[in-house]
Amino acid sequence: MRGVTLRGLVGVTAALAVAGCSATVPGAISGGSTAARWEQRVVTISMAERIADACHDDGINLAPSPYGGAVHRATEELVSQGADRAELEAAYQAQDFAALSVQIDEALARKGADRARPGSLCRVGAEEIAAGSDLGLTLKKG
Amino acid sequence: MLKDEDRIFTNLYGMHDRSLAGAKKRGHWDGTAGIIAKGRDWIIDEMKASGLRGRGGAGFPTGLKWSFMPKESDGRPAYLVINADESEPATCKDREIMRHDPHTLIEGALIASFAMGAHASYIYIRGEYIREREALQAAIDECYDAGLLGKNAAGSGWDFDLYLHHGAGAYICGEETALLESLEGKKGMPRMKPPFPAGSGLYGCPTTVNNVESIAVCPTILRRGATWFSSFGRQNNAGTKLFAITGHVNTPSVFEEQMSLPVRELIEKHGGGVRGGWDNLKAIIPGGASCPILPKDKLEDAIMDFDWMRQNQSSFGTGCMIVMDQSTDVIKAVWRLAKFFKHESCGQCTPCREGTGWMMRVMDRLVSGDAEVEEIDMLLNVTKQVEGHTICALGDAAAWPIQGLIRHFREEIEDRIKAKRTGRMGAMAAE
Repeated sequence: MRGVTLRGLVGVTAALAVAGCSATVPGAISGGSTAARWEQRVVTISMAERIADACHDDGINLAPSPYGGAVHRATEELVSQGADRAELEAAYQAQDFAALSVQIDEALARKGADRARPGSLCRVGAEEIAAGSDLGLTLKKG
Repeated sequence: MLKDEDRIFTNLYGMHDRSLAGAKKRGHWDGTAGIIAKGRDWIIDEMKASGLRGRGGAGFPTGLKWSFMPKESDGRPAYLVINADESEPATCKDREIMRHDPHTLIEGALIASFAMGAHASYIYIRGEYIREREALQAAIDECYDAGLLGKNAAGSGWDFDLYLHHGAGAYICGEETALLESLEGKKGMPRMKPPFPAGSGLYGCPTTVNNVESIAVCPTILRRGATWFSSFGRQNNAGTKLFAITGHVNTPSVFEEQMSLPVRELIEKHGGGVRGGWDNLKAIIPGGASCPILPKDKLEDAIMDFDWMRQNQSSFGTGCMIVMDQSTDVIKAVWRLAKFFKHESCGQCTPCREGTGWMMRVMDRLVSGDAEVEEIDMLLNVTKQVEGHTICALGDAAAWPIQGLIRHFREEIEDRIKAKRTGRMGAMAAE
């Protein structure tokens, strides 16, 4: 995670450090502020979306969820775990999504994935699914 | 404004649980087997009585279309094919059904297929709709797991399989016979009609092709009754409908509303008004890129439905309108549509293959003001040569926006040509 700095009111660094690395149930990550957990989950889902966008012909898709969209899905997942919706709304309002988008690309790049090379995204997706990481559990094969 | 209790799509914005459990809580999959138990004839008669007209653009009565399917099989299977290709520029209503309220479509597919004697249905989804495909496939998988699809679907006694087919992103594959070709694994090129799909469609078997919304509304119509549905809108324009407003409005949106409301009311209530106010409106394209443009002076009392639009030389299309304010270079806007249709022509018919390119090149010159004034009528004449002389409606779709432009904005075109000659060319048009 070298070279990543904190942005905005919530910790992008902390979010990216965990995204795709832990082997927990998606969204069931404990620790950190509610805003940081929310942001971490948005990052993970967004990374999964970018992989699924490029790799559906390889049978890699987003795992089913009752809710669509990274922000909405992350919000509802955390609410179902007892998070305060108002706190999540505040995190959403404070978020710099342009910066977050760059950070998501950078996080994928650190794993060796490049949006210009769809095959690299698919390789990372398959690896994450096999590892059962948080990112991998947000995806499904077949 | 449509009351909440009269909305068919209760999760249009994805704010609620889109899974089977969530859909059931909102009243979907309620008494499906009971509806099927009423029989084919009852379902088709009820759909006819509802006045539902196809929501994909052509507006053909849905119940009547279903009634064209053979009542007795000659040994060939029958199919329902659901057109989810939704490629019309500015039209993005079906995607909201598929990604947020997919069970309306799946339940509708079962009931409609039963009504047409089909044990299998295919949903042909637009290639770019990746999230939508995932959501819809997840919903289909849930339904199989819950016994709502497959053998004895939903306990109805009817065996029914539903398949989702992902397209590859060609506009022409939204044309029903090109869609069937593509579904069969061939190049997406329209077929000559007759034979019509009801006689010989998918794999040469009786087939009905319906739009997503047309199928998704049918369970609610059958639960609540044809009279309820037909109580909305003017005669021959019944029901509620998904509309969309995009372009120069303050709040672009997709929403469910009753048919036959004033265009101005829709723009102001659901679109948040025209950017800069109603008087800043220049024109709209009412129902997708292929519909002729209508200028503001026609829109003061305009009604958003099939009949009003047809009577005023435009088309209701998909009900998804593009709003353009006074800052719009309307000639350039229509040129962009001409370029789109040229790109998307499959090339099968000479008038379309050659005509779309010809029309775009003349439009190039109209945009820059380099054309002769006489070319305006020449262009209009070419559009008439393309219109009605092709296998499918893409030729018409390419011709109509240009006809609308000349009909309502001829002065603006002529002014630009004159301005170019006298060196008064505006910066915007010269871009």
